[in-house]
Amino acid sequence: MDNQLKMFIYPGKLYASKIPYQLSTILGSCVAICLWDSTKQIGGMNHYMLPLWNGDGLASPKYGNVAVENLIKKLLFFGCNKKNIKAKIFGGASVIKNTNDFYNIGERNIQIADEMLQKAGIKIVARSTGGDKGRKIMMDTSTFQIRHKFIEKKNF
Amino acid sequence: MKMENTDKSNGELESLKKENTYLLAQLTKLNQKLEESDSFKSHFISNITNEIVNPFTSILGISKNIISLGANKISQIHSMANLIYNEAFDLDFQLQNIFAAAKIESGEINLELTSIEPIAFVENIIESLRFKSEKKAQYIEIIAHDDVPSNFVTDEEKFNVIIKNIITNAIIFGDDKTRIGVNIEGKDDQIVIKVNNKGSLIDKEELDKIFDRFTKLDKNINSVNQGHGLGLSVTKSYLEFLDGEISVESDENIGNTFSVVMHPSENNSDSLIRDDDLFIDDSEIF
Repeated sequence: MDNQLKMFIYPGKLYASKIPYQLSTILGSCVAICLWDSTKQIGGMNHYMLPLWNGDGLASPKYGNVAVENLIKKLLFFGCNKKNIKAKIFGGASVIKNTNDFYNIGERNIQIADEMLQKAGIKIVARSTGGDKGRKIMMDTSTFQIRHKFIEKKNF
Repeated sequence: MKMENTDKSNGELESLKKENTYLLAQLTKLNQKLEESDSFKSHFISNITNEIVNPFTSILGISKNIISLGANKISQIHSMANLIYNEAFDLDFQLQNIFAAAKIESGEINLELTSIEPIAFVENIIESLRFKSEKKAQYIEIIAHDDVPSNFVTDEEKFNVIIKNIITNAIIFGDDKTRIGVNIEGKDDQIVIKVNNKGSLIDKEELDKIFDRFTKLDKNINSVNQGHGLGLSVTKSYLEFLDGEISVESDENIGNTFSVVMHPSENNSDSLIRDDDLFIDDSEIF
């Protein structure tokens, strides 16, 4: 356990690895999707802040539609088969209590995850989404075991 | 009771209306961008030709000439080497931006935090760019305030790209024989860097577009201005990773001013990993 390779997934980053890694991140209204191929035992995680890239700036995995597609591509590049890939999704809380919070970023982030995974034919086997609390998650890419903990309100 | 319900649904209706208007505005903006995207593509090809193929052609041509020169023509060799340096410098810078953009878009981005000395760091960048400003007879003046912290924790490589892009832009888009002002000051634990130049002003409506990729305000193919429109989009994305901000002001009297605010970076991953034990104790498993 001590020699375990660790990585923190910053917002806008994604990572997948053939060798076992412990990927962790902190989520507020952001969403992280964890994908895992059960036969190859290869997994990865992304962490996006907004649902859709609207042509602003770079088309980076800061946006859900880019992040989901890129993570799937990455696993396919490692030789995974879409049929064997399963997903667990986390985050999308409404941590920022705003009176005119009509954009519902968290909710939209979850929505895009569901839509894109369904379109890709990837089954969601576990989830902890929504609510009003931030989350800390830690994924073991070799076993797909994910430790999850709610954290006290903070700004993200 | 009923009244309350109507009030509530009226409020909801109102916010839905607002949301609708906002989304419609977004959609219109996006449509416009889509229309422009085709012309972006063709501009990109011509820009790439200008930015990458032309320097290579020059470098190849000039170095071939040097090879054919006799050893006694050292002064000629010297000036040719100078030309090669200029071309290679630009090429290297363009490639750095292209690779940076590719890395950001693929999500392969890491923070490598070190402590730097902000003033010396910016001065070094200016020195490395001085030959470019001298070609246009511009004068770069650096004004460093006393309140700038002597140590600043950030990602050195990304900080370098950010500052280099802004100052290079100020040189490229500044008029000949003008002053470029670089102002560094401290504000709480942040640093604020302002780069000012005198050149053609940026239109108000184009101000928020300049950070999009492949946007060049001067779309003329035969333009003397270099750049493929990646620099500022890379700068902005890097600043997001470093928890910083960038803003632009364009004013007839003052000229164009780009302001960058940088916060010192904290190592989030460290604090997270330190919490490990606690994390494992009372966490759920999915």
